[in-house]
Amino acid sequence: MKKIGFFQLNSCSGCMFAVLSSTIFLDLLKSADIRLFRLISDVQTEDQFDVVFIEGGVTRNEEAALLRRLWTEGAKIITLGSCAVLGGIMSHSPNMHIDPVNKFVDPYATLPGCPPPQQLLGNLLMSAIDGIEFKLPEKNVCSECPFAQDQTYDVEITSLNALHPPKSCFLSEGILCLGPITRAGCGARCIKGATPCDGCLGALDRNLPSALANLFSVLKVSDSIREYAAIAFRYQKPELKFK
Amino acid sequence: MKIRLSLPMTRIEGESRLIVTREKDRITNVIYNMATVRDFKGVIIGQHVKDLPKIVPRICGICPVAHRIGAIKAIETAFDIVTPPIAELLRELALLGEIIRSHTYSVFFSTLPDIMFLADQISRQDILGVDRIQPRVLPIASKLFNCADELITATAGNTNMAFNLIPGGILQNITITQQQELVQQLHAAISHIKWAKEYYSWLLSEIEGEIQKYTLPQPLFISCFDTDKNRFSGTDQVELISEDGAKKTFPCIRYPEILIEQDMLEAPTKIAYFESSNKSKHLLAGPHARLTTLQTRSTKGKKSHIGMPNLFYSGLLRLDEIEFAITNSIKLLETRWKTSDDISVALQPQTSSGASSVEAPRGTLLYRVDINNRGRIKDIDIRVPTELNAKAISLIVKKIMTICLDLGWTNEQTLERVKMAVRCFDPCVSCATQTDIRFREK
Ligand code: SF4
Ligand code: SF4
Ligand code: SF4
Repeated sequence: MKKIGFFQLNSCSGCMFAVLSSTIFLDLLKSADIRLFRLISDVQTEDQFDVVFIEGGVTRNEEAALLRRLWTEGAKIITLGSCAVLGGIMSHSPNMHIDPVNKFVDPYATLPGCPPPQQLLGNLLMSAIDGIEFKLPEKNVCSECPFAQDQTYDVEITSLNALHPPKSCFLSEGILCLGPITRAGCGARCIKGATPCDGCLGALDRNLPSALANLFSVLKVSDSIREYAAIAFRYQKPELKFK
Repeated sequence: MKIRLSLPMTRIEGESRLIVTREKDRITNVIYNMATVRDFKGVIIGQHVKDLPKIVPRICGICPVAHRIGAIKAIETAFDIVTPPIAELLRELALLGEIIRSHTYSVFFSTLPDIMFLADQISRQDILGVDRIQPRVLPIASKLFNCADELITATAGNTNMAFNLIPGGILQNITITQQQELVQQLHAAISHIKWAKEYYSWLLSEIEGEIQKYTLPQPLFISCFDTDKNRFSGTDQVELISEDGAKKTFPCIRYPEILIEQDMLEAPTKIAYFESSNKSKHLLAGPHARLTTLQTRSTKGKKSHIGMPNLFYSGLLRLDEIEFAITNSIKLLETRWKTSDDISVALQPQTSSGASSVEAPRGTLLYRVDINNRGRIKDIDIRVPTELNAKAISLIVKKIMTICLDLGWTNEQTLERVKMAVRCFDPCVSCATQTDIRFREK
């Protein structure tokens, strides 16, 4: 049985809760040796892990030290969620510093998303049990979107929010959607729920600033939106690159 | 020689610790400490008001819907918006889904292993230990999670962002097919929750003597449960109820005057005191408070004596609330809704302030927001139930400590009991540590 640990750093517990309410959670409980998962258990073995899942960004020295220790001891580190992978929403705090996990250790696998989509999360958890390699999709959100065929870059982008379900691609309705530069895997869940993608799965080419610069160069983006472009960096600081 | 130890808490949401003082191998003091800081205020100030509902769900991964509704309602009061009834209904249904989701975690993963341990049913005090003895529990929890997720997704868009709920209304309505499927699924969950309630009650009866220790000194109950419509999404009035049944009601916009913020030594958590009390009195938010609000409603005008809350009964109250959430959702979903095409009203940002109160699963959640003429957020204050409960938590920790010392219990037994007492509050560390970073540094 694989020895598994679940660690929470600076986070909202949403990713861990996604694990808990995942359809394969019962299988996981029974087919892995869960040595630390404070959300559900008092068992607290702090070492000898084969695989550890990390939720949340790093704000404290002791968290960075913990990551380094786990890594040095040979645990495969899997970052779970946009906070751990990219720094997440808290990286916009003007009062505190938050780093993604990859600043301190080299993750074996990463799964961004706020929280990660259930399908990918299920695959990732299974891969941790079975040792099968986990791969993120190498396509963008548009490839999963029902409106992809209506996509046009000709309409001026003047809004960040939808007020009703789209009849066609958000970009063709003048609403900014980050689907073209964001990694697929969520089944375009926000768009199907009448909300444009704000990029929680991270940039497909792992470099959000350059991907955004490219997107903004081909779109007609109004000045008011450009002024508020920070919104496109909801899950990471502009200077960070997605590992 | 005094030694201070820091022990991580388990089976609660987020990272928190017990700071334990040991003298001559005896534990002499325990403090419950939430060490993390999450500067959401810093993240929010300066953002556009329309972005607020997108940011606040990240405060808490277990009750994101309550945060989203809290933010939306605060914005709507700021701009004097009256939302279409269909939006109110979907918000309530989403919140009921979140009650099921959050309480399922709290009861089955957090407190049930404790009472089974006290009743000598299990030796491994967690859900795996429970599963070995009572294999019905884990599949029931899984079914309830599933039910909750379906209900939230159908009404709020998704479980974690609730993006269908927007200031002014909703983005899209639920379909009749979705309604029918949900009703079926919810009906199927009723027998499970009834069984869980019977089982939990039986366990409580087995440990009757033991749990008398967990009675909380008489608090001031705080709630905004809408007793007229039976809704968690609240009114704009907050109610404080004292032990003699006396009520004080105030509009939620006034909460910063009524709930006075105090710095709790060694536990960097805001706590709130009642202004009219000379002697500071601790508040209690959550299922006990909601039940008290309902009970005092049935004795309108008369003063009734309110019993001291026993913490272990909060698990049973949560199961009651899950049952209520299921049956009330069925009722709401089976109602023929009159819907017009208008499911939302447009927002016209202007300089203004707004506030809201919502009954989140763990208790009253309060929002206050100031907006400038460019639609940007000037200031925000968010009070979460765990902050409101912070002083009560610290009181019970001290009380249990004293009892254990008097009984000459081992360090291990003492800490175990302290942890159980803290878990009964269902504290949310992610929520409680989102406040103003400057307050904490002070
Ligand atoms: S990625 Fe999202 S869901 Fe996960 S911990 Fe961060 S804010 Fe919460
Ligand atoms: S830009 Fe957005 S709405 Fe348009 S096709 Fe891509 S994901 Fe869909
Ligand atoms: S549509 Fe975009 S924001 Fe929404 S879940 Fe998918 S990647 Fe994340």
